[in-house]
Amino acid sequence: MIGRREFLAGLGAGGALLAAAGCRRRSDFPGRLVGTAERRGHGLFAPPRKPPARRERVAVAILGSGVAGLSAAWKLGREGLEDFRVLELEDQAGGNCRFAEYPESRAPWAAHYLPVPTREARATLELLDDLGLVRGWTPSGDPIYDERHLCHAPDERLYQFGRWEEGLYPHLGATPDDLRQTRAFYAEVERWQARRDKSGRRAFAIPVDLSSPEARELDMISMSQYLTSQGWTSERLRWHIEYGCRDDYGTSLESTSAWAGLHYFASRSPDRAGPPGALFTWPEGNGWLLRTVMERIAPRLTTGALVYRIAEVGRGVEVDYLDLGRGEPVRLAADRVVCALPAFQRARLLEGSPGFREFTCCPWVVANLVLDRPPEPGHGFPLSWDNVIYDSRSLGYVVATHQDLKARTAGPTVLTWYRSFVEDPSQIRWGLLGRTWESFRDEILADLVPVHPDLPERIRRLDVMVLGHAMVRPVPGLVWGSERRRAALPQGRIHFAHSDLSGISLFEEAQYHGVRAAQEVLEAGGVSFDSSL
Amino acid sequence: MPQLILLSVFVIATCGLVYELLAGTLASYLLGDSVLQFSTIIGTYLFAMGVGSWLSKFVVRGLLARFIQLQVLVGLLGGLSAPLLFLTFSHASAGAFRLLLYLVVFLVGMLVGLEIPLILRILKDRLEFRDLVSQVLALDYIGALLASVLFPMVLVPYLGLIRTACFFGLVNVGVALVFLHAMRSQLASRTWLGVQAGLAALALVGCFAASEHITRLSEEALYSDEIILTRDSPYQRMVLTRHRDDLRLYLNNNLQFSSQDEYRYHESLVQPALASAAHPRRVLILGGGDGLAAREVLRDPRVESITLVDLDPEMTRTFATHPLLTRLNEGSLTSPRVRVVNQDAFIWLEENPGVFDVILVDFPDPSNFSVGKLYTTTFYRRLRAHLAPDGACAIQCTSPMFARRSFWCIVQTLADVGFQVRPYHAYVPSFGEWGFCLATAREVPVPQARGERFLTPSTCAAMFEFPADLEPLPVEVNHLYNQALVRYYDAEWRAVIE
Repeated sequence: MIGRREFLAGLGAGGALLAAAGCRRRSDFPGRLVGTAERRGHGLFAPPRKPPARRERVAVAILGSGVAGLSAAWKLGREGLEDFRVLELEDQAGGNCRFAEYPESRAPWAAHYLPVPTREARATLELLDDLGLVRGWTPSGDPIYDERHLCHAPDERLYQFGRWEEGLYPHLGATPDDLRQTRAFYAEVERWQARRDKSGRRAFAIPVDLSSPEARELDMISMSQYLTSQGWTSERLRWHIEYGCRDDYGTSLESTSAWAGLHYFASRSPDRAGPPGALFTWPEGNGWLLRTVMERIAPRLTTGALVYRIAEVGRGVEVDYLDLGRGEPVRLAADRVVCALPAFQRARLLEGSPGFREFTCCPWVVANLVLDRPPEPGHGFPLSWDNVIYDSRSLGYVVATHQDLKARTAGPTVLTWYRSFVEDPSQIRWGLLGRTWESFRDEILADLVPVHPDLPERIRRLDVMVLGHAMVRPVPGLVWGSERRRAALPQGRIHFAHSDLSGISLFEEAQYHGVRAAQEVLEAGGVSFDSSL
Repeated sequence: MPQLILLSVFVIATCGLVYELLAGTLASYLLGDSVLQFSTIIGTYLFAMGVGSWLSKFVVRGLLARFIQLQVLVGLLGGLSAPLLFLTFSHASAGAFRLLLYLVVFLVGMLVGLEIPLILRILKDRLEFRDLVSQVLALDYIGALLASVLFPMVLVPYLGLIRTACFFGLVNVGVALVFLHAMRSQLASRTWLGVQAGLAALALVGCFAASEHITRLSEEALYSDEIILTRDSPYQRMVLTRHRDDLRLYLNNNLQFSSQDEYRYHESLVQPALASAAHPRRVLILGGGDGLAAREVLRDPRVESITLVDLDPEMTRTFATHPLLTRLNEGSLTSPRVRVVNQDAFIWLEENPGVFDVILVDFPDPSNFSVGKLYTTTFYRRLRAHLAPDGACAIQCTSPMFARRSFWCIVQTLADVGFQVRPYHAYVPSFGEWGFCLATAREVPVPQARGERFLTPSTCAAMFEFPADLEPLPVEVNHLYNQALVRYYDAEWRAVIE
């Protein structure tokens, strides 16, 4: 006879069979792994031995076309210095602002939004104005933004217990104690937001370099230790805060510095006119911000260029790179160099550079799911721009067509799914690079199908990008440690720019360092300019 | 065969609870007051199960055959309960519906109550009593759990009430058929039982297939009028009803107009704007695919051209061709002075440069984030760019009575983009107190327009006065990034409906 246990086991086996049947249908759509940076970059392990025969010359060489590199080019161009070259390893410029172009829509490959800039992020505001996003100015001098580009409502929703709720805090099922702790945490955040030191600086500013050192002790401990020390043990609150860390830093509560963890919440204080908490977003994500800059510099951009040696020689700098298109090494002689590459690469490229071992990067996996129409919205709050699943290891997905002004958008769309890997990156990076498209596809469907059962039949294609070194990890000690400061100092005629010089990977930080490095170059060249910082 | 019988306990337990939930849900849908409905239905059902259990002692012979017949009966009655109740509700008096509701619940409950005692007796010689009771009851309760989870999350959203009922009816009959097959050696009257089960299955399958039709039959009755036309477009479901000489249009179940009093609405929307524009030659209508606003505009001989932008081609086509509808809109959509464009209004304003003397905005109420975009500062800024300096816009603004904050939010939003705004309101019996805004680039005097059947110069001016209970409330401006209006609207209309 059959016992209850066998019976239930039978039910389970039936479910597995059903799931297997479902899997067969799932694999009908095509897709591929995109992005080659990792394999190309690992060419650095075996650089060419002979000195290059092909020689080129330029006043300023910019290495890397991420936000930092392109911002340096933007600033040089604005000041009339046109004799520069940008070298990029990938075939597409933009770094973490790269995007995909599908017939259905553009969609981001990494960063997908920019909060309205803080007072201190002057270069960012200048860029937004340059791009035509400022419609006018208030009498008090605050910008009035073109609202079409601000993220439309509804912006965020969270899935738990089979339904969606607005926002990213899991209210459903929260106990009074959960809510009390959450209020206490946000009260503390507001206290930090309002705080200024004697010279008017905030404790948590963007750019990070403009912060006062008031809270620097918090950089010595982890966010987890900090929360525990405050008595904030609520699982929901900790999930909510960790979501921010995973999303902006690719770190867990344990691996995030408490300073960085608080920075996420306290840096964007509502002291500018305009909508509090508003952010800019576009179908292609932050690629929109760089498109104009890229068009301007297109003739001076070389993609498929693997830089393998940088050396100061006499009164100039030699940059040796491999032209991957022709398989030929090239020597680019420059008066000055803006090295807008991650700090961890310097030891391999730059003769006599220290190792900068404190800079570690987290890997990301980003997937674009092209759909013939949006999934059924599910119970509760309607489909939003950012859709997050509580207790999932993914970060959820954003909808590329969210900013569409059509009153009804039932047409094709692209969902961009994100996961950052908070585990020790040195342990998992190689494993990630060895994974197949099928294994990512299965992971993504396992994450999304329970929430959107109709998703498999809507997918036209699914592409996956693995970003092995996506963002710097603000582990305790990095932001306020001495290595970060040292890494930003110029070395002879070589200037450095990258978001990791801030210890946190934000658009504004990368742009700040790009513009700063460009200004160092301009100053050294005796060019007069208006500071954007 | 104890395994098979135990499996059936699980299945029939699921079915039994589904019928109970169906009756409760149906009663709360149709009668309201869900606490009362669920309590009394569950009470009746449990009591009936008790009666069934007691009655089981009178079943003495041929237990297996009786059990099979019981399954057929439960399946038939339970499976047909939802369609039967739906149709009764829409075609009989409330008293008759209630009577039938409790009768059906009682009968199903009684039959379900017979099931477990019979199973216990069938199995009593094959299992030890201790095992028997523990396994049968455990599976019974697990089945109930499965039903209670499946019902709200899968069955109601994906199958609907009628098909859920038929489906579980078929499951019960299926249990009967499986037993018939598996225990054919122990059954004498196999053929007769088979015929009973077959007929029941046939009835249930038929009902499952006809569920759309049944829904429509009951829908017709719910609209209380004759449905003369339904159209499904990618954008909306259009239902047109007629009761004597009253034509009513419903879009997604929301009343759009009643032919009895729509002239009040459309004169109020159209005439003040026509009166406030210096030279109303070029008119733009956004929404208004029914052609009724266009009809009012065409009465004015000064108007040279009307551009009507409505998203839904199905809507404008129907209102340009259906004889009852063209009689109502006086063939406005096929007038040589009218050009119909089927495009999204937001996109059309972006892509077309024209300037208009009068713009009439007749969109559905801002009941969701999609439509809410058409009431934002960004939209109104575009609208302004298309309005001649001495022109006038009129905007339908939902009810200042039922959705007071929503109404004043629209007024605020128009003012925020630099319009001179004159809010006004009119009484439209089928809608209630309804709100509009007159928006102009320069300040204009209160218009004293005359309409064909409703407005006189003095009553037109009076529309711009607001009584105390409709006065402004402090509200936020509606932006794309906050969609404050949709939130007001949702809260206010929910309060009205509940």
